[in-house]
Amino acid sequence: MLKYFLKRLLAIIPVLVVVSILACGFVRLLPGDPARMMAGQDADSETIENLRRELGLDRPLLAQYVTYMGKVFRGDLGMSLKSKLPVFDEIALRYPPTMILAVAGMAWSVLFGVFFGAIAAIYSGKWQDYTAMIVSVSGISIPQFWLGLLLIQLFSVYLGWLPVTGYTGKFSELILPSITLGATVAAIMARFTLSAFLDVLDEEYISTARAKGVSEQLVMWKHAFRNALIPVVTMIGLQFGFLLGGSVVVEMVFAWPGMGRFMIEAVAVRDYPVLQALLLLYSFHFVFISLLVDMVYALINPEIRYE
Amino acid sequence: MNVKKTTLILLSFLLLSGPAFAASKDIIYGSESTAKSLDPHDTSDTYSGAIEKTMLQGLMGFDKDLKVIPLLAESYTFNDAATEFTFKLRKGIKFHDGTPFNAEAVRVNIERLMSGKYKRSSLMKPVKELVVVDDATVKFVLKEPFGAFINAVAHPGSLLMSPAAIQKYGDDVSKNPVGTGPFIFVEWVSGDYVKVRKNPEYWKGPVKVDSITFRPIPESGSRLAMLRAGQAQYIYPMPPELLKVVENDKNIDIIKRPSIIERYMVLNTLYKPLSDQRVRQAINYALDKQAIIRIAFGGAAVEADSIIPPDLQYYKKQSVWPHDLAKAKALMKEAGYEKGFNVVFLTPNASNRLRATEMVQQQLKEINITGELQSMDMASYFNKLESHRADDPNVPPFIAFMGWSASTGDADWGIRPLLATASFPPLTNYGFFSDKELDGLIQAGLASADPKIRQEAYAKAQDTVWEKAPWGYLLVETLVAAKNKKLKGIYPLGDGNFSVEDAEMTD
Repeated sequence: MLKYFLKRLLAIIPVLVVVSILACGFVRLLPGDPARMMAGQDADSETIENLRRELGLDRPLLAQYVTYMGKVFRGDLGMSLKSKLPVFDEIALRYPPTMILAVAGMAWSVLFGVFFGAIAAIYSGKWQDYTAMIVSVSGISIPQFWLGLLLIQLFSVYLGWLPVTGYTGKFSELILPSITLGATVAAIMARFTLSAFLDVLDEEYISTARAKGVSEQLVMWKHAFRNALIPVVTMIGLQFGFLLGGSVVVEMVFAWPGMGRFMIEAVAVRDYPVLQALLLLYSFHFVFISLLVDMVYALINPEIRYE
Repeated sequence: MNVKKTTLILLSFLLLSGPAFAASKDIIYGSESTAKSLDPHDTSDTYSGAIEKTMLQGLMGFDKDLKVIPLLAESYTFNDAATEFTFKLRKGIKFHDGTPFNAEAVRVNIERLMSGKYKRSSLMKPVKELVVVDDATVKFVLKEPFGAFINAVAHPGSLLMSPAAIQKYGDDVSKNPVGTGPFIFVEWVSGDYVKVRKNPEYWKGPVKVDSITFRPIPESGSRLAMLRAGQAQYIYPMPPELLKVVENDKNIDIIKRPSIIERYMVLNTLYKPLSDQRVRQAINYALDKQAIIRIAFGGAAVEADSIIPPDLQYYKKQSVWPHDLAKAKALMKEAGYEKGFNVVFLTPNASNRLRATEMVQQQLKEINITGELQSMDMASYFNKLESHRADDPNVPPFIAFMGWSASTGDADWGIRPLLATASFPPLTNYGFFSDKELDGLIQAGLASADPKIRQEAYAKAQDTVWEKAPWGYLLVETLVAAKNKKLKGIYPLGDGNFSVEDAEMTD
């Protein structure tokens, strides 16, 4: 198992190399000139030319890529064209806020989502089912920015219990953003758990268990729930991968200094080094998380073995 | 815990926190943008420049009506040819790090700018050399006459930093600005806030607030919520569509003032039919400016009444083109385009710009000018407009949304980059407007630094261009900010900067 894990871990490297080539090419396919954007609207041609030279953007694409990768292997992600600060430092500043928000949002969306989904499946067709699904459909349908602003109005402006925005390390600042972020994911989780659960309940081994006279509770929790969890875990992994990229809407509404806003700001001015680094990081997240998910399968279902 | 005890604790909390809140002199400024640099010479956006100006000062500056005033200079003189500008410096001023402010400090800064390495180096491009006459006098010798030079010196890009800091930090001064201003740099967390604290030895007198934190709150609803919840004391921009929400809020003041941001539709004058002046005039008659202001800009704008906004130096009022479809149709007929023609409408995809352009597209249908609308993000937009060339027959007839804020506060920078023949793309005369008379007047305005002569040149320039209608004139934006009633002495400036020097928290 450990050997398998390490082998998979090594296999990430070629994936990232391919991603780096694509990233390097894609960001430059976007129309728009970073030197132009950095220089400002009223810049003269000389300023723009100087800037282009200084940023190394006047060199052929291949040369730029080779230099870039050379640096990346030495752990240097280059300088942000916009702020002229090292990309590594810039990402290091924004990674913890995004991570904290993603973990908090994920934690309670899994808790509520799986719970609601399971309830809906167990009481399929009864009022519990409908209630759970109404709640979760609302969760998917409510736009995040609207929910966020509504929560701010209620809890910050009228009641004055929680800060509107902020990232100074207080727990109270995390509550509203994580709820807003978690609402959508919780709803997705609930829907997904429900359908996975119902699929499993249709399986023959469930009928067999019931025919054997196993108690309904045992059927649900031991036979059905554990098996239903496998696709749910996949979903959790995928969603978490997205959340780690930073949620643009939530970060905007709550002025959360995370990666989503960073990405948007970087795209706006075509900050190539930042974009390349972020694309690499996002790809790494997904590959790594899907590896973790595969490992978790084995824990849930002892029949799954990796050699 | 019994009820009494809880009440007691809550009560003591209120008693303790009440007065403490009132006495707080730490201001939080909620903004839309994020600071990008704190090195004035290498800053190209207004917001970063505005933060720099709380800490750094230049030889000249702007007052709250954007009039140029001496700041670290006591006075200045210039020769008739507008090639030599001499500044007498104030004495006894020190930078925050204790370095004295003198001619040497000016030299180090100006030569840094003149190196050509920085985004604002172009401000000092006219300069041949800087002569240190004595410890308190410097003389700029220019390569050729440049009548708007005083405004280049007043520009935020010409702010002065401590020479010791420049030497110590090199280009890392962008993270360690040291100036002579009312506030001293504390901390900048990239992507989050910038904090400054008061300068206890400010040369103009005591500063009345302890600190200011500039926090970006990109979403406008949240920004307003910060103000209403008392977690920010000043917000800019205040979204005009939310003005109704705070109209009756006793704790909030709304501040409105005219900006120097003019918005207009560039008409591609390169080929027919937009090369025909009558067609361009017809377009101006066909545009319902008031409707665009009301719907796309939430009422926060006034109709443009010249090619430059009223708060720019040497502005001269013209008469607004009335919304008159009959005249518009008559002009189209006279030009032989009664049946109309096809154009491409171009716009950045920011919501108010897109909405305005959609309205223009709709309104021009009335005189049979039709065409598809292409919207794109800012970077693609510049890329598109600046890839057009005057000798390329494939440039389509286009009508493009455009906005401009002349950061020097002077007519030259409001006209030359946008309408001079020398400013064809890749520079910013996107409509290829070319007019010999205007080019001559622009030169005349730069050939002297004498306000009378310049006034005359720019007045004529505005008169002649207004009639020729190179643009579909739209509007001049109104800036809207909001603040806590207790906060006084803080206001927005027309260029999107703000003045916080006299800020004060009252009880």
